[in-house]
Amino acid sequence: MSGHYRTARAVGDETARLERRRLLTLFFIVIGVVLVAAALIAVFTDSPEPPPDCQPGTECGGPPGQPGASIAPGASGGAIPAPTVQPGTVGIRAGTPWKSTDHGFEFEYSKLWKVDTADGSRVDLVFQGRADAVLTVASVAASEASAEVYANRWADTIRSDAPDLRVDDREKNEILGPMIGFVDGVGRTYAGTWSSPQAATRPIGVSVISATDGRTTVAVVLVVWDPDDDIASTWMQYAVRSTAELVLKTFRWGPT
Amino acid sequence: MIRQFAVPPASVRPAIVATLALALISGGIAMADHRDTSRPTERATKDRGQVPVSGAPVSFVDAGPTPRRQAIDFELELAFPGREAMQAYALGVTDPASPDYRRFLTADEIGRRFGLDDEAIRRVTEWASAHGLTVGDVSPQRIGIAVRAPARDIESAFDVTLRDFVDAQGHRFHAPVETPLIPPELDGLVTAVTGLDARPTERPALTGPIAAGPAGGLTPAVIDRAYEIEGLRAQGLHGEGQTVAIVSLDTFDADDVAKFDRMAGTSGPRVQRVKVNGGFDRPGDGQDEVNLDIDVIRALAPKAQIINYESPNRSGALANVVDRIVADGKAEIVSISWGSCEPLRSSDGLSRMARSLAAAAAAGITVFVASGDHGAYGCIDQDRQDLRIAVDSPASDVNVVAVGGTYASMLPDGTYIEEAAWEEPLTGWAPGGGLSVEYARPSWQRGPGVDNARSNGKRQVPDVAGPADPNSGFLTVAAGKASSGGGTSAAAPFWAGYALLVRQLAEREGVRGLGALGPVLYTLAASRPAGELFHDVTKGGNLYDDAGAGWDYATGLGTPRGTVLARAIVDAVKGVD
Repeated sequence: MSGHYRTARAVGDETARLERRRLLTLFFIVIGVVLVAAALIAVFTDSPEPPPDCQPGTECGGPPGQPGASIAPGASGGAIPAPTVQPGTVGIRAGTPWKSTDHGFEFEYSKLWKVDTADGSRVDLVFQGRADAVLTVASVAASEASAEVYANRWADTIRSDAPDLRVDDREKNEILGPMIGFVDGVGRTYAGTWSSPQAATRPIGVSVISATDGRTTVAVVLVVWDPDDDIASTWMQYAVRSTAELVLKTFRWGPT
Repeated sequence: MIRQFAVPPASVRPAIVATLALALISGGIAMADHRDTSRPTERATKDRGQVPVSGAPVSFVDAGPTPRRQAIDFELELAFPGREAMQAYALGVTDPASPDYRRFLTADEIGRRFGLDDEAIRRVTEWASAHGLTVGDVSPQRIGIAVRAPARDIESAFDVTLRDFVDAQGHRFHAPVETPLIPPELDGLVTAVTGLDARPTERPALTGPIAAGPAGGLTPAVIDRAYEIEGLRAQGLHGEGQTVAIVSLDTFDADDVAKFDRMAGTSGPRVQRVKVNGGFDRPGDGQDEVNLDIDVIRALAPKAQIINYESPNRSGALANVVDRIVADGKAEIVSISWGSCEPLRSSDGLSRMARSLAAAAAAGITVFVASGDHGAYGCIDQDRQDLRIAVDSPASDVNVVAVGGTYASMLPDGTYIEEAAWEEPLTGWAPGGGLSVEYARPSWQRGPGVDNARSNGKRQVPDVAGPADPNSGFLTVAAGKASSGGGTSAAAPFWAGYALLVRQLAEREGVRGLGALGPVLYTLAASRPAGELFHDVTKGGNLYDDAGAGWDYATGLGTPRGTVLARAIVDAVKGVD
């Protein structure tokens, strides 16, 4: 464009130069009006939302469109955009984490439990309180067992040491809304007598919850010895169960 | 593949009495045996020879006649000719289409408009005085008359026998062994004699404290960030000039509040106490609940004036306290973390409660109520074997905002990650939720998720949710000990504290009072995109129903996104939307 302009200026007559000046003047007036108008619009309309207040130590800039990523329309008056986190971010831990290397799931357990044995798909935790109890979290590929099958398989396994193991249908021990990591599953309670040669014969209470995300099937199995013993204002099995809830709540299924 | 199940090693018995005891606290609460003992009133058939009890039998020991000179506080429940009109008015004050919209009434106006006339009240008080009963306050809303009398005069006046009992926890209480008879002179004037049964009828919706809370519990700074309250703080909102009433069935030690302030870095007006039904001399079994309520509100709105209304835990106590709050007219935000399983309340008890709460709504008061801590099985903390599907009362009342609970996940600085409905299937803890069997669903309870496969035209619980899982619980101090407290007992004051900030924002913009917030919250949720005003909780459940998109039976509409929701509420109340 600039080359064409110079050429025209060199060859034009006075009338043509005057005409060009008028055009130039008009051009700058139009530009000026546009700039002033733009400035006025900028001044008298809402300014764009400020960038997220990314504080030190926080993770900012979640995926676009993620709920909570921006202030809603109509929000004003000092609203600060909500910081966002990447999917899968783990928050404040309420217990000690344990992760399955085979299936990728993880969970947290309270300090009342301690790892006894573990491998890539299973961990056995032993209760550290004044009760005898073992909590097992075990897993198989979903193609190997459904939640129902896996729960039954675990009951059969325990039955090898407690041949009289039977369903405990007492309301007080019923598992209400069985789930693992907020995935609904199956849950059953059993009662029986532990009669392993390695230990004295004692009554046991067994809670089995199993669930699957379609890739992995997980069982959470809690065995409590002397389950009906009175303890404070409740009974042993209930007391120990309360310490195992954290596993179910903090359970995060492996990546899809 | 399944391996051989491990035999527990012999060395699993280290002495950890203290830690196990902590874990058992929730179990102890679950086993508490509190039943509503409200009875049929007026000329009901007498059940001679037994303590009238709703629901299943309970264990207690007869400790003999109540000493005849023992002074007993109780209440004459007044007939209320305008009961239905008052409920209609309570709906009207929140309905922009109603001529009564935002025309809040004082307690005195409620009484004169809907209650007995002066002559009728005079007849009741004169009868009481003539029979040796000392007449106390007549509630200005004319719902009840407080009365005190020796046991012998009560027995004579109402043809009833009072005896003492000792419950399984060792608490001694007096109770009538027959239904009190309303004398013919009071026909049409008095509908019931309540409060003669001093057995605790309500229990706190409280879990924990536990040892494993995140960093000792949620602190004010963490709450501010997680629930996006920082935008309100930036406007200088900390509850200044606001007043909240806590309905308490116990009292607290001021030193605990001071310790909380030191630990949380908060400060504010001294917490006031108002004694109802005689109040308390010292903290009792329920002090954890009282402190949790105070501390959570203190964390949200530290500069607000907290008034702790304290009544002994007995039949009719919650209604008595609500009446007093409405009569005093000092607080427009109320928090209740006590309740009972709805089916175990008598219809008279529910009716009495409904009257008090309708009066509160007509007065422009928002009452936040814990939805309970046993999910869809509201009765199991009164009887572990009672697995019927039931909601809690007063959470099921149509004039309250019922608050469910969540398990909150966040970074240490409070950055919000996600929430799930708090759910513990092994022990039966979860936010109360489900369908009332008593109350119809109010017209304003509508929106995405509200109409669902279980809907049957009855009131659906809860309305909203707050953090409730003790694992993401609140910092609290009781009996000198700091801990992380949870349950929907924490979620209700969480909302009450938040509402104080909203009210302060409204007041700053020239709006006088918010009015009952339930209808506003549903209207806003239905008119905005999902997730805009509330964190929509879609994981977890109430042990029976799963949480899901939109409203659900565990978390209602969800938890607040503090600043944007506050803005929306104030605009709605101002008529901007």
